[in-house]
Amino acid sequence: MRPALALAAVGVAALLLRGALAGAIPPALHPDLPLVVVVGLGLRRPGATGLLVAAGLGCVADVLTGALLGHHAMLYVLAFAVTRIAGSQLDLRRPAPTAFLVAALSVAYGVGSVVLSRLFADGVAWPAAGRLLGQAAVDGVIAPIVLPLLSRLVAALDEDDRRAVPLAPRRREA
Amino acid sequence: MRDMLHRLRVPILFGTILLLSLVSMHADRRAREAGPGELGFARGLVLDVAVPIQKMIAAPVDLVRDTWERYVALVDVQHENDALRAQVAALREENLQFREALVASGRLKRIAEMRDEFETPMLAMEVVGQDVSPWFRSVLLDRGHANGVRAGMPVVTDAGVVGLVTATSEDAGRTMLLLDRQSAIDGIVQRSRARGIVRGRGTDRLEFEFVVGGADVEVGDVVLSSGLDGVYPKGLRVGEVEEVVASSYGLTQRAILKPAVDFGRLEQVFVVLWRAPTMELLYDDTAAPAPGS
Repeated sequence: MRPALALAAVGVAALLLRGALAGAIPPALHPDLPLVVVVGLGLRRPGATGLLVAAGLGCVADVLTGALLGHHAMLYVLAFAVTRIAGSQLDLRRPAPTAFLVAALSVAYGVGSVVLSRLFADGVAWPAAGRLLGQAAVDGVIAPIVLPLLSRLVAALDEDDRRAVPLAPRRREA
Repeated sequence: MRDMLHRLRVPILFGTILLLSLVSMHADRRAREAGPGELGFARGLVLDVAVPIQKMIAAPVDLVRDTWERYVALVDVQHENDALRAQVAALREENLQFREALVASGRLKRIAEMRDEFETPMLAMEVVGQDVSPWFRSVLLDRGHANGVRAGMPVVTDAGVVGLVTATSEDAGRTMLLLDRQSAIDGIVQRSRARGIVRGRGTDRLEFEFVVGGADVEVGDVVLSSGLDGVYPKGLRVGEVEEVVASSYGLTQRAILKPAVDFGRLEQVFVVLWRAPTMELLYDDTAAPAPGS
């Protein structure tokens, strides 16, 4: 429980940090730290607790953003699920697959966000491809740095970290 | 059975959360259409807790940025200062001439009277956080209804219109920027008095749709708020025409505006402590908080 709470606290801090940094960094270079934390949850706490924490983070993001309640919650939960599946297929101990996964999720998150807002609200404009790719690149770069730190935090709080998804592809038993 | 439920609890929870999210978004949309107002307890609490923390986090970020802008990035500042001094002197001279002309025609007194009449109190506020998602256009302010701020009040800076307060808690407020696609303001071209509606596009530019096709507008024209929307006071700068686009049949005309306010660098804003009658009706403070808020 403690690691999940710690990751939730890190996630909320990431949301607040993102809001504070928004004015200081060009929009195309905003790192999506909360998304990286959700990926961390999917890798280190892939069970029901992690899922609930991801949904909770999404709700906080909805309140801070002014988006419809459930918007970010749904996207974070989907990102969590994709991470969980990818964690069993890819070797996420290496930086390259991790960076690729987070970059792909970043693009999917942007597209999903626009689609949801068009379905449920008055919609937002499609972001420029350059901006989407810029953010994806930034997220891809920070992910291999942030995720090991999150793993260390989880390991420090929970020595018996049995619930984590194996970071290497599953091999068939002989 | 119990064992199977235990094994499937994550997929079941996943499906339930997705379903709840869809229901929640639908309900929230309906609640907002019914008339937004002050935030409910839970959302207000989140904002009240988040704003001071965000302010704390933003302080060192702002310090670094200010240090950079004020001390490090000051290349050729001496030349710029000289040019600005010369410009100020020229403007002062021009200003004096205008004043003389106005006094002579007796209009200065009338303008002063009008100013007193229309002057509304404003509250200076700090922007403590911008949207955590780049896909929406709103900012968080560090004061709420404890300081008299209410949903529906216009937000401005010395440069022009920023947007509208859309929700408040005890000590925080959320402002929808003019850039948001849900924002609109009745505008007027300062030079030709051509009227139209300025809308947010969800990007860093605004769109100005003219009421009449073939309106007199040129690149570089300044667009002001007309006050006819009953939301924003008259005469505030909205933006500058960057591009004029006519439809193929010439029936409609629109212009792309560069906003007067640099939304990427908002630090301090002013909330006009006034709401137009239409806003009073829309944001009924006496009503209970909207469901789902």
